[in-house]
Amino acid sequence: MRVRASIVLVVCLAMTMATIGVAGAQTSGQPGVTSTTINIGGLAGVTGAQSPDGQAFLGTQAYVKWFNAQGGIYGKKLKIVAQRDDASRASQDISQARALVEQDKVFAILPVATQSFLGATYLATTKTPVFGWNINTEWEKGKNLFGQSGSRSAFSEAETYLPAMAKAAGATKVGIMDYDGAAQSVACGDGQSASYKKYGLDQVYRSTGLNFGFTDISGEIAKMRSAGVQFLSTCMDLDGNVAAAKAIHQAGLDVKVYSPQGYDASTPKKYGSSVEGFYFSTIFRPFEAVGNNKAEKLYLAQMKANKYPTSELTLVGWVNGMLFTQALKNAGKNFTQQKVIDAVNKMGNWTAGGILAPVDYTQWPRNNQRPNSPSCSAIVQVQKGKFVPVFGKPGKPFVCYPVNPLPANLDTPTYL
Amino acid sequence: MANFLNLSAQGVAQGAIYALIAMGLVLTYKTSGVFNLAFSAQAFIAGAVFYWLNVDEGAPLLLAFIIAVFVVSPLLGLLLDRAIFRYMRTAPWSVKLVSALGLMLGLPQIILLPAVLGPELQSNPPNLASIVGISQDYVFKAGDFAIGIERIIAVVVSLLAVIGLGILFRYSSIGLQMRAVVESPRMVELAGVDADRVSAYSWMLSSFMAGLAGVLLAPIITSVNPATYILIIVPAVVVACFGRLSSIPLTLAGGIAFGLLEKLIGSDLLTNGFGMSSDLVSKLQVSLPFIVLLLLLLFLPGLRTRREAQDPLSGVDPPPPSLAASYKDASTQRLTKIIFPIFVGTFVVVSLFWLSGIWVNRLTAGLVWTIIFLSITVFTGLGGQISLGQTAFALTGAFAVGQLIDHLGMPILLAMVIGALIAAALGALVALPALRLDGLYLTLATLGFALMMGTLIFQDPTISKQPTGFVLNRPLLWGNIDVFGWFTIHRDFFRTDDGFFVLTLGVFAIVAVGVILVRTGTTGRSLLAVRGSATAAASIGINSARLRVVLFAIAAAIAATGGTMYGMLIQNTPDPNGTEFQAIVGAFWVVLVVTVGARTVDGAANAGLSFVLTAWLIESQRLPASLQIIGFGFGAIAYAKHPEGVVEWQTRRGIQDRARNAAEKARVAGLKARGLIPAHFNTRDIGLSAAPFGLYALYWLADGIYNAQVPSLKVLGVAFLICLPFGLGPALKAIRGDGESRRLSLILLVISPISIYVIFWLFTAIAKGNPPNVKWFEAACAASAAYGVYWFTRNFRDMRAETGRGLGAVGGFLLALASVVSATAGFFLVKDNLFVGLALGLIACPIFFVLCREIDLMTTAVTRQDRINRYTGFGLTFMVLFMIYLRKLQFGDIQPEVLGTRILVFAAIGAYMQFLIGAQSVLNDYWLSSVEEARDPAEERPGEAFASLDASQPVPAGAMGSVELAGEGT
Repeated sequence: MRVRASIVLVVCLAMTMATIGVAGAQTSGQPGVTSTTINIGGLAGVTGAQSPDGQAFLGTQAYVKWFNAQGGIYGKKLKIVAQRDDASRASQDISQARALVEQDKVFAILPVATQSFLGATYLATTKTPVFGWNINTEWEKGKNLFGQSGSRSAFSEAETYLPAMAKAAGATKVGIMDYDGAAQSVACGDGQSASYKKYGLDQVYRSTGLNFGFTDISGEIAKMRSAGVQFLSTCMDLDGNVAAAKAIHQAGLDVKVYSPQGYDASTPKKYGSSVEGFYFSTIFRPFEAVGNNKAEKLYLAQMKANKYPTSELTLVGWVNGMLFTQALKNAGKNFTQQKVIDAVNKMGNWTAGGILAPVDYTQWPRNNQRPNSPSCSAIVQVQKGKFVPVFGKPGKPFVCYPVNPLPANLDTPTYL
Repeated sequence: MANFLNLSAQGVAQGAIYALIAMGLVLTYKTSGVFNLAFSAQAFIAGAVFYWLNVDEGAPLLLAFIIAVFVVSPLLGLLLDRAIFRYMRTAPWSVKLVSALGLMLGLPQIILLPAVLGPELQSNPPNLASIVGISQDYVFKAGDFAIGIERIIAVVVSLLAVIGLGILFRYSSIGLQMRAVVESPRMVELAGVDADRVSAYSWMLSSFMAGLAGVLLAPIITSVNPATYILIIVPAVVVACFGRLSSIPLTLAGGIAFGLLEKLIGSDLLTNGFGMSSDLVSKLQVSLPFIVLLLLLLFLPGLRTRREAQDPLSGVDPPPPSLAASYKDASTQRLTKIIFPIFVGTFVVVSLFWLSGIWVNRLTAGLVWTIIFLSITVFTGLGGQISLGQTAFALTGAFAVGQLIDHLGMPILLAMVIGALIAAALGALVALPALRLDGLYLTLATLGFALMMGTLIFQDPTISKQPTGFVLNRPLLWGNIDVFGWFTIHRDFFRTDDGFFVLTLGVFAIVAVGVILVRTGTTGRSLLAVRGSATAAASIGINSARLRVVLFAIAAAIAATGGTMYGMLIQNTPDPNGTEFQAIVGAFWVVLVVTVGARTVDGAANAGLSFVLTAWLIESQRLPASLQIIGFGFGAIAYAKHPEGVVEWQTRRGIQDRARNAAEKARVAGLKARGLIPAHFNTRDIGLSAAPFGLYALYWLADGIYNAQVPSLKVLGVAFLICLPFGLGPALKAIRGDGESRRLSLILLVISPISIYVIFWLFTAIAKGNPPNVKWFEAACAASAAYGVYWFTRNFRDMRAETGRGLGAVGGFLLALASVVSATAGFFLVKDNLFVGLALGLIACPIFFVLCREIDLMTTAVTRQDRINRYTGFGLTFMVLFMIYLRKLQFGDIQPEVLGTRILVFAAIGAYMQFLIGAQSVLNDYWLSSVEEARDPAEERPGEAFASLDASQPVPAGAMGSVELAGEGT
């Protein structure tokens, strides 16, 4: 019985394997392009990460739905044929990236939002346009890789927005908190330290021995008290920042806290008074400073209509869609993957309709030098349970400084 | 001075929290012998439930607390004991540990499924202050000292728990019984105490403490996140070790001492007082739990020389079975020697010439993981120990190679060899202080080592070049190679998918041969001798210390080789903070390998390929990737029943099946010779009644695959008509049997085709993205379920009374099937509420498992257990199908991969066929047994053997007494 069953199963398997693969009805010679659709696919760390990144899919879904409702482009509609989860694993990221190109045969990949983007090495060798969330250094690897705020990463370089924020908050003595047990956090902390040093702020404190998931920082609190810290910037996750802020508050210290993560509509409600006074920075127009910006109003309306959350990740998915379709338009009716890539690489001042601070994609290699476009950030602060844009000007939330070269001082920003 | 007092107070508060968790560990260890690393998972579940009830559902804080801590947690503990750990009471420590590890990994992932609470982290959970009328933000201050209300509550509760536990163990009879059960449950039962009941109480109490810890910790760490809870377990382990895993007061003292130590090191004492650099102090702070753990394990009196409590009756336990290969007869061995090379050759040829690049890449990844897992084969399979530190050795190899290439420009293959040697040296170094450790303590030491390397060494950019890591390019050949003018192997051959596959296969072959040589050589035999009896081994001159060092070194070298190959696979050194090589991931590796098979090379190969292919299969259906962890995590529980691993178990079963079939043939021949059954009768006739269903299912499958369509009734009807003559005849023969067997045959004939058609129709509909016609499906399910329940309830009690067992197995299955189809119908009814739907499915399938297990308890024959195991395969397939539909609802229009869906459908058919075969063999067995019992040899009349079994005549009373399985092979 067992042998017979085994034979049956092997026969079934052979028959199944014999039918692997279904050819798509492509018409243009370009992968993923049919007479009626342009196929796209996404890649995200939906499971396995500390911060699941699958929300980015929602932004792209909403954009595609809206875009198709406007008639699509060149008589074709965008079609999402795959949304692959790399489970935040490096080997799976590569495998999924290959699957999008070789199996799903997509025309373009968007969004990409993952903590581990080693698939970039493979994607850089293909002709597939890739759009995503540039939190990894791998975005610099290829001319076809486009992060939503550019493709250059400079975690450990000095920059302007943080010391500007600290000065605007009235602080002269600053401190840094990062996870000693995470190299990326340490690199971020080094960058902050270099920034403070460049612009003359007195860094009187830096955390030692902190690990992800810490339960007590009374020793660090004591150090901060002794040093007289007035402004604390962190390179930790939002939960870590909240835990630190709680401890600071309980100790009665008057320290302003900057969190690099956590600008999300649900943050004030979720964390309550624990995040009161927190500063957050964004490279997109804060949702509270939409004003008359039509592009961001459209995003907010579509998120509401689809019952999707408004967050940095869904916005990433949305603007990835915007950039892709703009590139399609620029590439013309006889578009190809290469033409789309070339179109993006010609954009030196992409703002996604005013949602983003200007992004320059023209530089290559990406990491060779700083971009020519200014570095802009919008700063918000939690005041009475709500996000309030600060340090900008009415209608112009972005505070900008040049980066190539860095300015000698921070006295004369421009506002966008 | 003020600062010192401040820090001391904080240290005591922190230490009390560690002590609370440590006490939970100590409690389960004292009462069940299980070092329950799943404690953190239980704590997380309680915290998650508490958060969900209060924050998401708006339940009052007190109610949420009571449900999470007093209801859910104890019930979870009871479930763990009833379903898993009570069967392991006399099992070796390794079995208990691996099962606990599996639960530690798998349990939280169930909560994080999208259909349950989802993967979004639960942030800023509330504390319990408002239950007693205090503000959530209350802070007690005295000068510079400040402590939040959440910590005050945690300290008070911890102290109360300590006192309560101490009283329980010292002064209550249940406490004494709990302590006695862990020594020897069998002797306790001889004294008239129900060991099962006591064990259940222990687990409920321990789980209650886990729930308490989970709810109290949540507001302190400001999130409910399994990763954080796992990290908290490390200082708790340290504190538990300080208490020697037995003393509650010492555990509390250890917690406070450790908390104080943490605070003092974090203060300015070392920098200002002792002039140490802040960088060194920082490193010391980060690695403090691991350093203290190692020091305790190595030097603490009472812990170092502690021996595991042994059941006095364990001396009469049989030794573990030999490898299945040793059971093979000469002809099977010859066949294996022929088939194996053909299989390997086919695998290579198919991979290189037929599969696409992406599939070659997947198989290569499977081979890379196999190489890494071979280190566990050596350490655990040969050495009998469990190491949670293999991630550290794998990373050591990869980073060593990166350094050698970066600084010396060394060719990567040469660097790989040297990297393996460096890792071997490190392994030997780690082994030296751990020579006196054994079992659980050695495992904890390896965990401490891995965590220390992960947080201290691999974060150093000068060692690991974090955050980017080293680029590890695949090797180049020295030039183009012309092969006899037929073809050219280009210089960059290894940088292609096929070329790297060949290279990885070659490295795997070398490592595998090495492992086999070690196993069959002097070292392997010496290791087995030491495992059997260290004293006896020493008496014949085997140096166990030297062997321990060699074991560590070999395992480390293999892991390092695998780590380097992984680096070449992704063309970068692995990220030590990533989800594949974090220290705690070593636990998953161990769980995976020991479940599949830790003793053989093919066990490791199956584990490696399963790791990659199950991930692909799950993702192809757009299902949550965490299902893989859940599956393997819970699969570790199978390790308890089959410590040899699934691969070995199946191999042995195949060998036993052949022996059983031969015995059955002899038995039937004997019955025929006595004239009790007709000479033309074939036992497979009954089994063949299943054939039509299988055949027309295959026909449907071929048609469906070919056309990628929902099968039409016409096709199914034609297939049925073609196959019917082959099956109906034998089925009618079976129906000629007594009333019970006829009813069973009718049920199988009637219900099976309905359920097969419905199932396959559903699968194809899902694959095509068309939602099924709910009403039609509900009607079919309801009818099938109703008949099954009706038949079973009418007949089960009678069958059980008359037969004691046997038919109950089939009946039990039918009840389970009814539960499952009812759940399916229910699932569709509530398809908007995924949680309820999943709950229904999850409720149905455990019913199935429990029933089969209870039925198994009614029987004693090994063969029945095997048949029942086939039924569980069917139940598992159903679980997968629920998940397929979950995927559909989660991802909307995003289609699953057709190949993956077809494989699952094919697996469902296979499982269903196995069920039919199993059910048929049970029926067959029963019928033959009743034939043997019914005839009194003295009254035997030739030619009238079947007359007494005619349906119109009742079976003589007493003829269906005990159903012995005469002549049954084992």
